[in-house]
Amino acid sequence: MTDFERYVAEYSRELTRFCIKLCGDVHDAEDLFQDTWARALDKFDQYDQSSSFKSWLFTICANLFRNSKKLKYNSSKAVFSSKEEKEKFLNSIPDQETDVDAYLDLHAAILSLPKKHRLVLVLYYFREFSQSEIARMLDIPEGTVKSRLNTAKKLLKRRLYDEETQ
Amino acid sequence: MKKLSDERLEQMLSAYCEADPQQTFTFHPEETRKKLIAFIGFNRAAAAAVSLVLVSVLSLTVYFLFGNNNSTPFVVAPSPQSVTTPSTPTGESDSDPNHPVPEPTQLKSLWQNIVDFLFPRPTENNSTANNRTSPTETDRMSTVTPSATEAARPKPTQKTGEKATEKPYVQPTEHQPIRPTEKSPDPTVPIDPPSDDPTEGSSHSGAPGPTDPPGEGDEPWLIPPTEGGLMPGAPTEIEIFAQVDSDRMEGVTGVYCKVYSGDSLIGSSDLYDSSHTVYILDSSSQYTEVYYVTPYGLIRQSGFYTFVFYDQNGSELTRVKEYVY
Repeated sequence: MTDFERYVAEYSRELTRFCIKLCGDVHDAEDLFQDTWARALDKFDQYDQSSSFKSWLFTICANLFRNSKKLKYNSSKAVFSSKEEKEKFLNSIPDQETDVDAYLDLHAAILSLPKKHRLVLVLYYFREFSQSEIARMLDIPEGTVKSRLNTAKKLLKRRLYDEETQ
Repeated sequence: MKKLSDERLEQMLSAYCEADPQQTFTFHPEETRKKLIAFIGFNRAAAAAVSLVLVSVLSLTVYFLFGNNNSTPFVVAPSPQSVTTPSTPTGESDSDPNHPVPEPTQLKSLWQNIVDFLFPRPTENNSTANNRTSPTETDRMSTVTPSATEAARPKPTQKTGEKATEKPYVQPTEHQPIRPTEKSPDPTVPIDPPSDDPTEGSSHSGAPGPTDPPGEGDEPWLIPPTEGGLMPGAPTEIEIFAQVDSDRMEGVTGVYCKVYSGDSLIGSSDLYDSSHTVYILDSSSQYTEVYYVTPYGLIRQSGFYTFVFYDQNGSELTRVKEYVY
């Protein structure tokens, strides 16, 4: 098994999770997943072995998502494109989250965020990257990361508050 | 009515992002490579075709603009100060000083050259021979567009590239209005609410924008750098924060935003198009903060833009004028 194949085996699960949280739609997420690994394979000779492969891989994924044309990786307007997808989503809800409706509302609210805010939010709450790492990955100032996180949370609170009052 | 607390939101977000999606995708390098090769192949062919077309158009444009120096119909449009005829033995001009040739715009002479090439007039002299005319002929011909019959050729001292320095549109002079009046709405003509004209209703705020918007047909890339020019990098989304007096937000169920460049609405004219949707952030007793993201690629050049915020009835809530870099 080559080094690259080892990395694919090790990080595919996490990358899948990341892509699904970013895109919402499973088909878009899989496209992003494939494109990320293809790009990583293409640029593998440029990867600096002394740095974290995970960070490098997720940087590729984040920038592909960010730089793609608006509709690519975000083509679905529906929260779930099929019943199967919804069932899988419901099965993935952690046990401690007893309020399923609130969880579904959060999912819809996150998908309604502007792309750049969604990206920063998911990267941060993925619990793998600090704000300074996110700033480095996206090549933006750390202040911008904080500002987008703050705005994203405000938007979510507002959206979820509106959902509750309906 | 309970608001979501920060702690609760943090908890939900962590749970959401850490949740296992119950599936793992598999990387298929062969399928991706096939798609990539087809994509690259298509792209290369498309790029080659586009390059060919561009080079052809550019060549034709240069040809018709500057012309073949040996063929008299294709001439640089003469300036009013230097109307000449070609190759008189003494180098003197036969042009009539009482009928100065008007200076055409660059576009007009290019078009005229194309028309002349395609539909040559019988009276045109295509040879390089002496084109001296009698005074009466000169009088008659001076009323015709110069490139058609005027056998004017650039003086040896004139640079052939002089034409290129002419501005593509007429600069506003002291006799011209700063804002073209034809763009102002006619109050006698009924307009559908909400009005698309940002000058109605609330007054403008902020510093004055560009003195004269480019005329119709002017491409953005012809705008000189003093009026904005191209933004570096790819077009992107612009974020706008605005504050609305909270007393104006009573009864408001939706906020929308339209973007104006000068007096011109850019983007969709349908107020309720999803690209106009505005996010409501915070509310206090004094003001409500709203947040708008322009559709991807809507703003492609730097300059002043007006963002007008409306409610679901089309009533204006506030407006923001900003310089976008």
